[in-house]
Amino acid sequence: MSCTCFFIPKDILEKLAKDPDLSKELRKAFQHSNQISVELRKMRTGALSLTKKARMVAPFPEALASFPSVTIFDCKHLQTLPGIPLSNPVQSGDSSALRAFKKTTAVANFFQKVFGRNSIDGAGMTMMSSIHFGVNHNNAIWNGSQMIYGDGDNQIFIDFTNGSDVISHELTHGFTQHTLQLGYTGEAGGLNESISDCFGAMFRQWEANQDINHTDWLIGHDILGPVARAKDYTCLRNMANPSDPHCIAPQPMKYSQITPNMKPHYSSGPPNHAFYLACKLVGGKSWEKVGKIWYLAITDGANPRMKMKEFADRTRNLASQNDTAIPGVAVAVDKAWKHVEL
Amino acid sequence: MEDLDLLKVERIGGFCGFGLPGSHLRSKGEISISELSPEDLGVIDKLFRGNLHFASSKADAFFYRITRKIGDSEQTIEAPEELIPLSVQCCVKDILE
Repeated sequence: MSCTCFFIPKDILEKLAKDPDLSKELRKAFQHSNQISVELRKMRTGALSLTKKARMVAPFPEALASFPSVTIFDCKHLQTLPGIPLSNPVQSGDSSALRAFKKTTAVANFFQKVFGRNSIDGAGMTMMSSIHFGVNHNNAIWNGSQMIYGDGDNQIFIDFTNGSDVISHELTHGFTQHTLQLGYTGEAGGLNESISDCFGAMFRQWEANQDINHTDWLIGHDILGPVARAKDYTCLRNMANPSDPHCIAPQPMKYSQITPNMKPHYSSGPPNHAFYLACKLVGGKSWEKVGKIWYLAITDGANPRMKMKEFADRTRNLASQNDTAIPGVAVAVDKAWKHVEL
Repeated sequence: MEDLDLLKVERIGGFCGFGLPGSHLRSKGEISISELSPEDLGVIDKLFRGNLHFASSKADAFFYRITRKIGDSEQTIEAPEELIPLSVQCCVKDILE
């Protein structure tokens, strides 16, 4: 996901630059794109190297702010970003703006109070959201720099800012981008999605101060529209039971059901379920125990192509190291991963 | 609409998991090539000529699967939302089965 600028691979650009079926102008354009991409990749590699060395010299870089600014923009049902800035989202009279502002601020509080993290990048990065994106848009995304929320069609889905888990899910993609740096394909993509669902669920539980025995694990429950509810759907995904027939988009339960080209929102089923199982076995509040292990695993060094087994083993090791502080977490994490075949 | 003029469009993915295996959410539509502006037609044509299948780069973004008929066979491409003209994006309708 740190590669958002270069999603056309180098070999594809080279192939297109030589394709005799394309016009001379188009071949030249692809050749130029490839040349620029090569130089930009060098810059990115250099920037990453500089960041790593700077962190070694000064491990606690100065933060932009002690708490992030939260900014809201109105797309006015167009798709031009970021939209018109709202100088006072709370008093704007726009309920989407109010929700986006308050919940984003709450997520920032969640990360700071629970995990000691200052915003998405750990250095007080401004948290920017655009609302009213498109017309009846049934989606929310993190585009590499900001969150974007559609209003829903008021049939299948309502305004996506109604979902605390949605907002935390999107912000967590930013957090992952700045830490583990998982890609968005293959097993890394499934892990990327799972981490966002895990932190989405955790934030929703933290907001309501719910422990394991008094919560649900239903992703997207709060954005379902009347048509979805009339058909007895309760969620998009269910971390407690990924194959739940009441899910709009049921998922596999076990790692053996995952195939190499599976889309991330499908392959996130098994790691989602492992997180839920571990939380259930440990008991208490998810963010205080298993959530801490997952946070440590995510911030323990980048691995854009990480496999699910590697992530599972990373959480196992960290759980063992922290078993005195969080009794029982090592056994719980190990059992949970084994249950999903990892 | 004649088959050869038609683009079959499917929107996949997103936060809600449109069009995934087992998903009850679908987003499909059709648009005639003759309805596209010259600029939009040029974009679609380039995607088909490249015969490309892009992976999504933005978390929870949609991508589009577009199929057209060429003689007796079909060609399908997949591309992220930001590469697809708005006129093609807007031809799909979201359905919950």
